[in-house]
Amino acid sequence: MSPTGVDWAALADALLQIERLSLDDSGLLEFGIEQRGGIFVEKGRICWVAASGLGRRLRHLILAHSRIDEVELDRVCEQCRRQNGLLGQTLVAQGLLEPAELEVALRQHSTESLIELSRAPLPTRFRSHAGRGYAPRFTFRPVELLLDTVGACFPELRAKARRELEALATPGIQAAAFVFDPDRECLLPVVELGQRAIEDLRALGRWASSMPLASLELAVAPSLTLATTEKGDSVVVWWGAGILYTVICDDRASLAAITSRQLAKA
Amino acid sequence: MSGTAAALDGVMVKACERVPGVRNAALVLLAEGISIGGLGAGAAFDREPLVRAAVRCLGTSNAWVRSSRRVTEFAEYAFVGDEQITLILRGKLQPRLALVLVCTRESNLAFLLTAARDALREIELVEELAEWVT
Repeated sequence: MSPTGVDWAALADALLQIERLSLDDSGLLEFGIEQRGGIFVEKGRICWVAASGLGRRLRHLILAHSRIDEVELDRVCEQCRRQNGLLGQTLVAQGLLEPAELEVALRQHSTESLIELSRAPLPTRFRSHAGRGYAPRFTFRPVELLLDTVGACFPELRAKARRELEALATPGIQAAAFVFDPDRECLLPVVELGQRAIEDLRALGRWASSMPLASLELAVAPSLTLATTEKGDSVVVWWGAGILYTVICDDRASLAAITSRQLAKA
Repeated sequence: MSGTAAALDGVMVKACERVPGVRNAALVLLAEGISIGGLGAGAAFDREPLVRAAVRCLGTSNAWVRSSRRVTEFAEYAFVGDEQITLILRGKLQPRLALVLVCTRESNLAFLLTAARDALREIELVEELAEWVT
Protein backbone atom coordinates (compact mmCIF):
# COMPACT_ATOMS: atom_id res chain seq x y z
CA MET A 1 0.00 0.00 0.00
CA SER A 2 1.34 3.43 -0.88
CA PRO A 3 1.58 6.25 1.71
CA THR A 4 -1.57 7.64 0.14
CA GLY A 5 -3.39 4.41 1.00
CA VAL A 6 -4.31 3.83 -2.63
CA ASP A 7 -3.62 0.58 -4.44
CA TRP A 8 -2.67 2.26 -7.71
CA ALA A 9 -2.46 -0.94 -9.71
CA ALA A 10 -6.01 -1.89 -8.69
CA LEU A 11 -7.28 1.59 -9.53
CA ALA A 12 -5.56 1.69 -12.91
CA ASP A 13 -6.84 -1.81 -13.74
CA ALA A 14 -10.43 -0.80 -12.92
CA LEU A 15 -10.19 2.36 -15.01
CA LEU A 16 -8.58 0.40 -17.84
CA GLN A 17 -11.61 -1.89 -17.93
CA ILE A 18 -13.74 1.17 -18.58
CA GLU A 19 -11.33 2.59 -21.11
CA ARG A 20 -11.63 -0.63 -23.10
CA LEU A 21 -15.43 -0.34 -23.34
CA SER A 22 -16.91 0.99 -26.55
CA LEU A 23 -18.45 4.43 -26.85
CA ASP A 24 -21.89 2.75 -26.92
CA ASP A 25 -21.42 0.97 -23.58
CA SER A 26 -23.24 2.11 -20.46
CA GLY A 27 -23.44 0.33 -17.13
CA LEU A 28 -21.84 -0.10 -13.73
CA LEU A 29 -18.44 -1.46 -12.75
CA GLU A 30 -19.15 -2.94 -9.34
CA PHE A 31 -16.46 -3.21 -6.67
CA GLY A 32 -16.43 -6.01 -4.11
CA ILE A 33 -18.58 -9.04 -3.50
CA GLU A 34 -20.60 -7.15 -0.92
CA GLN A 35 -20.91 -4.12 -3.11
CA ARG A 36 -18.66 -1.35 -1.77
CA GLY A 37 -19.53 0.97 -4.60
CA GLY A 38 -18.96 1.29 -8.28
CA ILE A 39 -18.21 3.37 -11.32
CA PHE A 40 -21.18 4.34 -13.45
CA VAL A 41 -20.48 4.57 -17.14
CA GLU A 42 -22.47 6.34 -19.82
CA LYS A 43 -21.44 5.86 -23.43
CA GLY A 44 -17.92 4.80 -22.46
CA ARG A 45 -17.37 7.78 -20.13
CA ILE A 46 -17.58 7.95 -16.35
CA CYS A 47 -20.65 9.80 -15.13
CA TRP A 48 -20.59 8.98 -11.42
CA VAL A 49 -18.54 7.10 -8.85
CA ALA A 50 -20.27 5.78 -5.74
CA ALA A 51 -18.49 4.57 -2.61
CA SER A 52 -19.99 3.48 0.66
CA GLY A 53 -19.74 6.24 3.26
CA LEU A 54 -19.66 9.03 0.68
CA GLY A 55 -23.37 9.12 -0.11
CA ARG A 56 -23.83 12.75 0.91
CA ARG A 57 -20.46 14.03 -0.20
CA LEU A 58 -21.64 15.55 -3.50
CA ARG A 59 -24.12 17.67 -1.56
CA HIS A 60 -21.29 19.08 0.58
CA LEU A 61 -19.16 19.73 -2.48
CA ILE A 62 -21.96 21.54 -4.31
CA LEU A 63 -22.52 23.75 -1.27
CA ALA A 64 -18.78 24.42 -1.07
CA HIS A 65 -18.29 25.19 -4.76
CA SER A 66 -21.39 27.35 -5.37
CA ARG A 67 -23.58 30.00 -3.79
CA ILE A 68 -26.64 27.79 -3.51
CA ASP A 69 -28.04 27.43 0.03
CA GLU A 70 -29.20 24.27 1.78
CA VAL A 71 -32.93 25.06 1.52
CA GLU A 72 -32.74 25.52 -2.22
CA LEU A 73 -30.61 22.41 -2.61
CA ASP A 74 -33.11 20.36 -0.58
CA ARG A 75 -35.94 21.61 -2.80
CA VAL A 76 -34.15 20.54 -5.98
CA CYS A 77 -33.11 17.20 -4.42
CA GLU A 78 -36.75 16.46 -3.65
CA GLN A 79 -37.82 17.46 -7.16
CA CYS A 80 -35.17 15.15 -8.67
CA ARG A 81 -36.28 12.28 -6.43
CA ARG A 82 -39.88 12.64 -7.60
CA GLN A 83 -39.04 13.00 -11.28
CA ASN A 84 -36.07 10.63 -11.34
CA GLY A 85 -33.94 13.59 -12.49
CA LEU A 86 -30.20 14.18 -12.29
CA LEU A 87 -29.41 16.55 -9.43
CA GLY A 88 -26.38 18.32 -10.85
CA GLN A 89 -27.79 18.84 -14.31
CA THR A 90 -31.11 20.02 -12.86
CA LEU A 91 -29.27 22.61 -10.76
CA VAL A 92 -27.46 23.81 -13.87
CA ALA A 93 -30.68 23.84 -15.92
CA GLN A 94 -32.37 25.98 -13.27
CA GLY A 95 -29.44 28.41 -13.20
CA LEU A 96 -28.55 27.58 -9.59
CA LEU A 97 -25.15 26.20 -10.44
CA GLU A 98 -22.63 27.13 -13.13
CA PRO A 99 -21.59 24.23 -15.40
CA ALA A 100 -17.96 24.73 -14.34
CA GLU A 101 -18.94 24.53 -10.67
CA LEU A 102 -20.76 21.26 -11.25
CA GLU A 103 -17.82 19.88 -13.21
CA VAL A 104 -15.42 20.67 -10.35
CA ALA A 105 -17.75 19.16 -7.75
CA LEU A 106 -18.35 16.00 -9.80
CA ARG A 107 -14.63 15.47 -10.48
CA GLN A 108 -13.74 15.95 -6.83
CA HIS A 109 -16.52 13.61 -5.76
CA SER A 110 -15.42 10.96 -8.26
CA THR A 111 -11.80 11.32 -7.14
CA GLU A 112 -12.62 10.90 -3.46
CA SER A 113 -14.85 7.92 -4.24
CA LEU A 114 -12.15 6.27 -6.38
CA ILE A 115 -9.62 6.68 -3.55
CA GLU A 116 -12.10 5.03 -1.20
CA LEU A 117 -12.75 2.15 -3.62
CA SER A 118 -9.03 1.56 -4.17
CA ARG A 119 -7.87 1.12 -0.58
CA ALA A 120 -7.44 -2.58 -1.33
CA PRO A 121 -7.80 -4.73 -4.43
CA LEU A 122 -11.46 -5.72 -4.81
CA PRO A 123 -13.03 -7.99 -7.40
CA THR A 124 -14.83 -6.00 -10.07
CA ARG A 125 -17.64 -6.90 -12.43
CA PHE A 126 -19.22 -4.85 -15.21
CA ARG A 127 -22.99 -4.94 -15.67
CA SER A 128 -24.46 -3.27 -18.73
CA HIS A 129 -27.55 -1.14 -18.43
CA ALA A 130 -29.11 1.78 -20.24
CA GLY A 131 -27.67 5.25 -19.69
CA ARG A 132 -29.56 7.92 -17.78
CA GLY A 133 -28.91 10.79 -20.12
CA TYR A 134 -25.90 12.51 -18.57
CA ALA A 135 -24.62 15.38 -20.70
CA PRO A 136 -21.12 14.62 -22.09
CA ARG A 137 -19.81 17.79 -20.41
CA PHE A 138 -20.47 16.18 -17.03
CA THR A 139 -18.93 12.81 -17.85
CA PHE A 140 -15.20 12.11 -17.86
CA ARG A 141 -12.59 9.96 -19.55
CA PRO A 142 -11.07 7.33 -17.24
CA VAL A 143 -7.64 8.88 -17.74
CA GLU A 144 -8.90 12.27 -16.53
CA LEU A 145 -10.06 10.73 -13.26
CA LEU A 146 -6.84 8.75 -12.85
CA LEU A 147 -4.85 11.99 -13.17
CA ASP A 148 -7.23 13.75 -10.78
CA THR A 149 -6.84 10.94 -8.24
CA VAL A 150 -3.04 10.93 -8.39
CA GLY A 151 -3.12 14.74 -8.22
CA ALA A 152 -5.37 14.69 -5.16
CA CYS A 153 -2.81 12.50 -3.38
CA PHE A 154 0.18 14.62 -4.50
CA PRO A 155 -1.30 18.14 -4.77
CA GLU A 156 1.94 20.12 -4.55
CA LEU A 157 3.68 17.98 -7.14
CA ARG A 158 0.68 18.23 -9.42
CA ALA A 159 0.70 22.03 -9.21
CA LYS A 160 4.42 22.11 -9.97
CA ALA A 161 4.10 19.65 -12.86
CA ARG A 162 1.17 21.56 -14.32
CA ARG A 163 3.11 24.85 -14.29
CA GLU A 164 6.08 23.18 -15.96
CA LEU A 165 4.07 21.46 -18.67
CA GLU A 166 1.85 24.45 -19.37
CA ALA A 167 4.99 26.45 -20.09
CA LEU A 168 5.79 23.90 -22.82
CA ALA A 169 2.32 23.80 -24.35
CA THR A 170 2.96 24.43 -28.03
CA PRO A 171 1.75 22.60 -31.14
CA GLY A 172 3.69 19.42 -31.86
CA ILE A 173 4.35 18.62 -28.22
CA GLN A 174 2.78 15.89 -26.15
CA ALA A 175 3.96 15.53 -22.61
CA ALA A 176 3.30 13.73 -19.37
CA ALA A 177 4.59 14.18 -15.85
CA PHE A 178 4.90 11.33 -13.37
CA VAL A 179 5.35 11.25 -9.62
CA PHE A 180 7.16 8.46 -7.84
CA ASP A 181 5.38 6.27 -5.31
CA PRO A 182 8.27 5.20 -3.05
CA ASP A 183 6.46 2.27 -1.50
CA ARG A 184 5.38 0.63 -4.72
CA GLU A 185 8.40 1.89 -6.61
CA CYS A 186 6.29 2.90 -9.56
CA LEU A 187 5.68 6.05 -11.51
CA LEU A 188 2.17 7.50 -11.48
CA PRO A 189 0.96 9.89 -14.19
CA VAL A 190 -0.10 13.20 -12.65
CA VAL A 191 -0.41 15.68 -15.53
CA GLU A 192 -0.49 15.25 -19.29
CA LEU A 193 -0.64 17.37 -22.41
CA GLY A 194 -2.39 15.48 -25.16
CA GLN A 195 -5.08 12.85 -25.28
CA ARG A 196 -3.28 9.73 -24.16
CA ALA A 197 -5.06 6.65 -22.86
CA ILE A 198 -4.24 5.10 -19.48
CA GLU A 199 -2.53 2.17 -21.16
CA ASP A 200 -0.29 4.54 -23.10
CA LEU A 201 0.59 6.56 -20.02
CA ARG A 202 1.38 3.40 -18.09
CA ALA A 203 3.61 2.14 -20.89
CA LEU A 204 5.30 5.53 -21.19
CA GLY A 205 5.92 5.60 -17.42
CA ARG A 206 7.31 2.05 -17.46
CA TRP A 207 9.69 2.94 -20.25
CA ALA A 208 10.69 6.31 -18.80
CA SER A 209 11.48 4.78 -15.40
CA SER A 210 14.58 3.27 -16.97
CA MET A 211 16.06 6.77 -17.39
CA PRO A 212 16.59 7.54 -13.68
CA LEU A 213 17.73 3.95 -13.18
CA ALA A 214 20.29 4.23 -15.97
CA SER A 215 21.42 7.59 -14.53
CA LEU A 216 22.03 5.86 -11.21
CA GLU A 217 24.11 3.22 -12.97
CA LEU A 218 26.13 5.96 -14.64
CA ALA A 219 26.34 7.99 -11.40
CA VAL A 220 25.21 11.12 -13.22
CA ALA A 221 22.39 13.57 -12.66
CA PRO A 222 21.60 14.63 -16.22
CA SER A 223 19.84 17.88 -17.03
CA LEU A 224 17.97 15.87 -19.61
CA THR A 225 17.97 12.57 -21.42
CA LEU A 226 17.16 12.43 -25.10
CA ALA A 227 15.91 9.15 -26.56
CA THR A 228 15.58 8.76 -30.31
CA THR A 229 14.24 6.05 -32.58
CA GLU A 230 15.78 5.13 -35.92
CA LYS A 231 12.95 7.02 -37.64
CA GLY A 232 13.87 10.14 -35.71
CA ASP A 233 10.98 10.19 -33.19
CA SER A 234 12.28 11.72 -30.00
CA VAL A 235 11.36 11.80 -26.34
CA VAL A 236 13.04 14.18 -23.92
CA VAL A 237 13.03 13.06 -20.28
CA TRP A 238 14.15 14.91 -17.19
CA TRP A 239 13.77 14.55 -13.48
CA GLY A 240 13.18 17.50 -11.17
CA ALA A 241 11.91 17.94 -7.62
CA GLY A 242 10.32 14.51 -7.42
CA ILE A 243 8.70 14.66 -10.86
CA LEU A 244 9.71 12.82 -14.01
CA TYR A 245 8.82 14.74 -17.17
CA THR A 246 8.50 13.12 -20.58
CA VAL A 247 8.02 15.21 -23.68
CA ILE A 248 7.31 13.56 -27.01
CA CYS A 249 8.49 15.76 -29.85
CA ASP A 250 6.86 15.20 -33.23
CA ASP A 251 9.26 17.41 -35.15
CA ARG A 252 12.78 18.79 -35.03
CA ALA A 253 11.62 22.31 -34.17
CA SER A 254 9.86 21.21 -31.00
CA LEU A 255 12.80 18.97 -30.07
CA ALA A 256 15.22 21.87 -30.47
CA ALA A 257 12.96 24.16 -28.44
CA ILE A 258 12.63 21.71 -25.55
CA THR A 259 16.30 20.73 -25.36
CA SER A 260 17.49 24.35 -25.53
CA ARG A 261 15.03 25.35 -22.84
CA GLN A 262 16.09 22.54 -20.54
CA LEU A 263 19.79 23.07 -21.10
CA ALA A 264 19.44 26.80 -20.47
CA LYS A 265 17.71 26.06 -17.17
CA ALA A 266 20.44 23.68 -16.04
CA MET B 1 44.74 -11.31 -31.90
CA SER B 2 41.71 -11.06 -34.23
CA GLY B 3 38.44 -10.87 -32.26
CA THR B 4 40.09 -10.58 -28.87
CA ALA B 5 39.15 -7.85 -26.44
CA ALA B 6 42.54 -6.25 -27.04
CA ALA B 7 41.93 -6.17 -30.77
CA LEU B 8 38.52 -4.59 -30.28
CA ASP B 9 40.01 -2.04 -27.89
CA GLY B 10 42.30 -1.00 -30.71
CA VAL B 11 39.39 -0.81 -33.15
CA MET B 12 37.50 1.41 -30.73
CA VAL B 13 40.41 3.76 -30.19
CA LYS B 14 40.70 4.24 -33.93
CA ALA B 15 36.95 4.57 -34.57
CA CYS B 16 36.43 7.06 -31.74
CA GLU B 17 39.33 9.29 -32.73
CA ARG B 18 36.96 11.76 -34.37
CA VAL B 19 34.50 11.84 -31.46
CA PRO B 20 35.44 14.95 -29.49
CA GLY B 21 36.18 14.70 -25.77
CA VAL B 22 35.78 10.92 -25.29
CA ARG B 23 36.82 9.95 -21.78
CA ASN B 24 35.55 6.42 -21.66
CA ALA B 25 33.76 3.98 -23.91
CA ALA B 26 32.45 0.46 -23.94
CA LEU B 27 31.28 -1.83 -26.69
CA VAL B 28 28.46 -3.93 -25.26
CA LEU B 29 26.73 -7.15 -26.25
CA LEU B 30 23.20 -6.36 -25.08
CA ALA B 31 21.78 -9.87 -24.74
CA GLU B 32 24.76 -11.12 -22.75
CA GLY B 33 25.27 -7.87 -20.84
CA ILE B 34 29.04 -7.92 -21.34
CA SER B 35 31.63 -5.51 -22.59
CA ILE B 36 33.73 -6.80 -25.48
CA GLY B 37 35.88 -3.72 -25.92
CA GLY B 38 36.57 -0.38 -24.42
CA LEU B 39 38.76 2.65 -24.20
CA GLY B 40 39.76 5.15 -21.58
CA ALA B 41 41.02 4.83 -18.06
CA GLY B 42 40.29 1.73 -16.02
CA ALA B 43 39.80 -1.94 -16.76
CA ALA B 44 36.77 -3.78 -18.10
CA PHE B 45 35.46 -4.02 -14.54
CA ASP B 46 35.35 -0.22 -14.30
CA ARG B 47 33.16 -0.11 -17.37
CA GLU B 48 30.48 -2.29 -15.76
CA PRO B 49 28.20 0.72 -15.04
CA LEU B 50 28.27 1.60 -18.75
CA VAL B 51 27.24 -1.93 -19.63
CA ARG B 52 24.38 -1.96 -17.12
CA ALA B 53 23.12 1.44 -18.33
CA ALA B 54 23.18 0.20 -21.94
CA VAL B 55 21.20 -2.91 -21.05
CA ARG B 56 18.65 -0.84 -19.10
CA CYS B 57 18.13 1.50 -22.04
CA LEU B 58 18.41 -0.82 -25.01
CA GLY B 59 17.59 -4.23 -23.53
CA THR B 60 14.65 -5.99 -25.14
CA SER B 61 12.41 -5.39 -22.12
CA ASN B 62 12.67 -1.66 -22.54
CA ALA B 63 10.67 -1.06 -25.69
CA TRP B 64 7.77 1.36 -25.38
CA VAL B 65 4.67 -0.69 -26.21
CA ARG B 66 1.67 1.54 -26.82
CA SER B 67 -2.02 0.66 -26.55
CA SER B 68 -2.18 0.45 -30.34
CA ARG B 69 0.38 -2.40 -29.95
CA ARG B 70 2.79 -0.17 -31.81
CA VAL B 71 6.24 -0.83 -30.42
CA THR B 72 8.66 2.06 -30.26
CA GLU B 73 12.24 0.92 -29.94
CA PHE B 74 14.70 3.63 -29.15
CA ALA B 75 18.07 3.39 -30.83
CA GLU B 76 19.94 6.24 -29.15
CA TYR B 77 20.04 7.77 -25.72
CA ALA B 78 21.93 10.90 -24.69
CA PHE B 79 22.30 11.71 -21.00
CA VAL B 80 23.28 15.36 -20.91
CA GLY B 81 24.84 16.45 -17.62
CA ASP B 82 26.66 19.56 -16.45
CA GLU B 83 30.11 18.15 -17.11
CA GLN B 84 29.65 15.22 -19.42
CA ILE B 85 27.42 13.68 -22.03
CA THR B 86 26.89 9.94 -22.07
CA LEU B 87 25.72 8.47 -25.37
CA ILE B 88 24.28 4.98 -25.73
CA LEU B 89 23.77 3.87 -29.33
CA ARG B 90 22.41 0.63 -30.72
CA GLY B 91 24.15 -0.87 -33.73
CA LYS B 92 22.32 -0.55 -37.04
CA LEU B 93 23.92 -3.54 -38.72
CA GLN B 94 24.27 -5.41 -35.44
CA PRO B 95 21.30 -4.54 -33.23
CA ARG B 96 22.71 -6.80 -30.49
CA LEU B 97 25.56 -4.37 -30.13
CA ALA B 98 25.68 -1.06 -28.29
CA LEU B 99 28.32 1.62 -28.05
CA VAL B 100 28.49 3.67 -24.85
CA LEU B 101 30.55 6.84 -24.93
CA VAL B 102 31.26 9.18 -22.04
CA CYS B 103 32.35 12.56 -23.40
CA THR B 104 33.17 15.96 -22.02
CA ARG B 105 30.50 18.62 -22.32
CA GLU B 106 32.42 20.99 -24.59
CA SER B 107 30.93 19.76 -27.85
CA ASN B 108 27.51 20.40 -29.26
CA LEU B 109 25.13 17.45 -28.71
CA ALA B 110 24.14 17.12 -32.36
CA PHE B 111 27.76 17.12 -33.48
CA LEU B 112 28.66 14.56 -30.85
CA LEU B 113 25.80 12.28 -31.90
CA THR B 114 26.83 12.44 -35.54
CA ALA B 115 30.44 11.61 -34.68
CA ALA B 116 29.34 8.75 -32.42
CA ARG B 117 27.11 7.27 -35.15
CA ASP B 118 30.05 7.37 -37.57
CA ALA B 119 32.26 5.64 -35.01
CA LEU B 120 29.74 2.88 -34.40
CA ARG B 121 29.26 2.36 -38.14
CA GLU B 122 33.02 1.92 -38.51
CA ILE B 123 33.16 -0.52 -35.59
CA GLU B 124 30.28 -2.59 -36.98
CA LEU B 125 32.18 -3.17 -40.20
CA VAL B 126 35.42 -4.51 -38.76
CA GLU B 127 36.31 -8.19 -39.11
CA GLU B 128 37.33 -8.45 -35.46
CA LEU B 129 33.68 -8.18 -34.46
CA ALA B 130 32.50 -11.16 -36.51
CA GLU B 131 33.04 -13.89 -33.94
CA TRP B 132 31.14 -11.94 -31.29
CA VAL B 133 28.02 -11.15 -33.24
CA THR B 134 27.53 -14.07 -35.62
